[in-house]
Amino acid sequence: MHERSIHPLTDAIREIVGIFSGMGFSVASGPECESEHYNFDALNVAKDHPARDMQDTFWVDEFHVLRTHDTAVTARMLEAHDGEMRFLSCGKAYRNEATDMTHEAQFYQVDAFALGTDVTLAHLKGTLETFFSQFLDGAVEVRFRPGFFPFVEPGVEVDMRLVGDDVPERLKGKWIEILGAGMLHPNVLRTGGIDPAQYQGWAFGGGIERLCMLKWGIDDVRAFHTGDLRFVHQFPVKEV
Amino acid sequence: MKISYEWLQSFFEDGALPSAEEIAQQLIFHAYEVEGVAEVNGTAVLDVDVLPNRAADSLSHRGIAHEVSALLNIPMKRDPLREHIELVPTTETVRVTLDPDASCTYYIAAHITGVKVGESPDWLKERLEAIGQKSINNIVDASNYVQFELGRPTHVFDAQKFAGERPCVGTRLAKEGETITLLGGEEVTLPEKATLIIDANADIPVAVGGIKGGAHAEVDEHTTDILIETANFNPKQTRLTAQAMKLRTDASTRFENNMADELAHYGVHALVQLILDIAGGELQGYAYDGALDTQQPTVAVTAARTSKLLGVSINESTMKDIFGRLGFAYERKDDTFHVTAPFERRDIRIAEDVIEEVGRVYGYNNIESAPMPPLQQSPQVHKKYAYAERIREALTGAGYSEVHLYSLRDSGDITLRNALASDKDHLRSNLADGVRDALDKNEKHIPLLGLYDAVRIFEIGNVFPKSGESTHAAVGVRVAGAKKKSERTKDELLAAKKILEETLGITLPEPDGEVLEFSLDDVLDSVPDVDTYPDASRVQEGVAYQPPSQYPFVLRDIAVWVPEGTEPQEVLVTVEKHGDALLVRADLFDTFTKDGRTSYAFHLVFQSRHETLTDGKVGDIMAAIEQDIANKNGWEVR
Repeated sequence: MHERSIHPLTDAIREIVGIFSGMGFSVASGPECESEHYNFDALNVAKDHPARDMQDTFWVDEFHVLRTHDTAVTARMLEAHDGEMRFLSCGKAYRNEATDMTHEAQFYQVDAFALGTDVTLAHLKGTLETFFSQFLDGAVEVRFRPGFFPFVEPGVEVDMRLVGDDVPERLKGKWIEILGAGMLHPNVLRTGGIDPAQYQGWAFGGGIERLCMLKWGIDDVRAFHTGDLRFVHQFPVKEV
Repeated sequence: MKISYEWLQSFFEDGALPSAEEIAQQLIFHAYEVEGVAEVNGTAVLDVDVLPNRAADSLSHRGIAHEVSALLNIPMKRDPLREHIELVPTTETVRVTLDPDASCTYYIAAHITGVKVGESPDWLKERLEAIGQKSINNIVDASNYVQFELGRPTHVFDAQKFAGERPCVGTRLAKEGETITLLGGEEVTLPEKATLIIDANADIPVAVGGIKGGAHAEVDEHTTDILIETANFNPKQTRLTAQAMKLRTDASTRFENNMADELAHYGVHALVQLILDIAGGELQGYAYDGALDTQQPTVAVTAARTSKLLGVSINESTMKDIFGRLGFAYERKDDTFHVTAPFERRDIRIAEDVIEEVGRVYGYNNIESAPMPPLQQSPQVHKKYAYAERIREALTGAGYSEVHLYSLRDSGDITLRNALASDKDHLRSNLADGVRDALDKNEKHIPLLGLYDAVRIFEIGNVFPKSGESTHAAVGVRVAGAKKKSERTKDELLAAKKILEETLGITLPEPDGEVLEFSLDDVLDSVPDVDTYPDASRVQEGVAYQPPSQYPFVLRDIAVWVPEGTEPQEVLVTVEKHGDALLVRADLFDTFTKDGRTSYAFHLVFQSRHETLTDGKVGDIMAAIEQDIANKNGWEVR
């Protein structure tokens, strides 16, 4: 029998679920074939927003798309729950774009959000520092730059870099653009039946393949979904 | 968008600006992305990637200058959008008449007679060339210049190419199948609902509104009388038309982004002044139709709310300072600021928009990270994820490898309305088809994978049959060799089924050929809730990934007699010495002992990362191995 191995996406999701469970987050999920409502409307993506156009989104019928982000799950959770909450979703998302070494029509996304009476952008920064340092097993710095996503305000682009002595050469000193984030837009909270005067929260989303590529030096995003065991078998399990 | 440092500098006192690199850094951390800084014709050029919410005010040198002024707290020497302008006189020499259904809400035409078309002055050519714009003639260049100076597209027609004594500009929607010859000579068919600018006296289209001018009334070297168009087009319709025409222009990009209506006046005024200055002529005056929508909301925000959202203490004087730098007007009543952004800013609509402005100018780097406060309740366990994890752990323990496959395939119950390719235009209705394809692919690599008995894989993923989306699990086996294939396949899958049934405590359906597929959602209905996730295996540390070689591998077998008691590892050492980096895998597949000798048989797999291995090259390696073995006392190649 060959050496036991784990698909890197599965291993990454295990790690992410473990890290966020430790911070009080519950796993959530939703359909991949999603209604226009949860994928766009509930997330404050205007009716005439370019993202809805045919070239970015796979349309299944007049009212359903292949979700373009796991943030659709955030919209569902906000609607289904009240008050303070923390959820995490790791699932497939789709974009209607040409594939190359860094773009795929399907990919896994991690989306998390925390809602409370006093959850701030500073908490987002702290959470991401914990996330990246545990995921990449080293000390990290996180920085925010202005960003724009319709479902958050303020919106930020998140960069991170590994610091310390044992950083792999390919990552040494490099700031890496890793995900998008921000404070949930009041329209998104309102659509979820939450009073934005009482509750506020952060949300972030990013590609899991990208995190794996960073962690293991994988050069081509297309390797993840081919079913090729020459890829999967390069990730043998840790003996306990 | 390309921003010339020299052009940018023209908005400030000489020497007031820091270096282009320093400006780029400030913009990156406080405003927009900057792709890079290059040197063009002796000036630095910044490639600024303005965020979508700022496209209305920032796609121009004036826009970036205003932002730089705010961020670096350097006053502007000139700000064209704060000057008082008057559009006088009005004229009867030209007329404008808008079709209210044609997605153009406002149109102002300026009529200038007696211009001299010629080369642009050097300063103008240099500025345009620095940002990658080709100089055409002074009139066209002037229009282009105003676009990159103020972010306001305009268009210039030859007034004498309009029919009648008194040129009349109109608008209407394109007719079905109507064509227009664009500037540059290309004839295109117009999409439905495209806004056309027409010579209303003759009903001849002269431009596609907001996108590109037509050839009919083009300015040429003989032009003396011009008609300047500055109009407001519906952002959404402009985008749809540009998209349908596959013609995204600098103008359409700006109209799509809903720039302020007021810019029309600043644009036409600046262009008239520039043309009179560099091409001469006499302004006959302005003619209008339509109306401007000039409402700007006032937003209430407090320092307390700002601090509470950003997670850092922001006091009122910091707020006031930032409002001042951004040019935001405010009134303070009790502890609340009532803030109005300047007309060109279209993105300040609610308190959070103002808070974002304060946050980014103050600097996100000045926000200290804080740990999440503890939560009262502990996380809930997601039943489907928990059981999926149990299945994964059981199957990998039994020698199965997990795959994640494509949901988009060449067949399935549901067809996408828009697909990337004809082999990816359906959503998969099952996992089995993909699993079988993956078995086919992996079977070709059996020696590379060392899976000489069977390829065993599984997938857990969503499927999209007519009955609705659900999560399935599928286990697939491809046994090697032809002997008793279906029997061995069935045995393998029944063994996997048994393991799964023990793990889940339920009965699963029978396998179908090489695949056992079942609905995880159905399973969840009949298994108990769980309160933890399984303690699942993890990838070991220090994995260094290598992409699989693109070149074919070569398989050779070797069997060696060695004295009884010799370890197979000793044989391998000899083999590996000659195989070098080309020997990618060696698997022992047969061992037996007879008359004091042991026979070890190995599959040897050779592959290069750089070339296709020839039989000759592999033959040489095998010969060297065999020679070395033959030289050893008591060793013999069988």
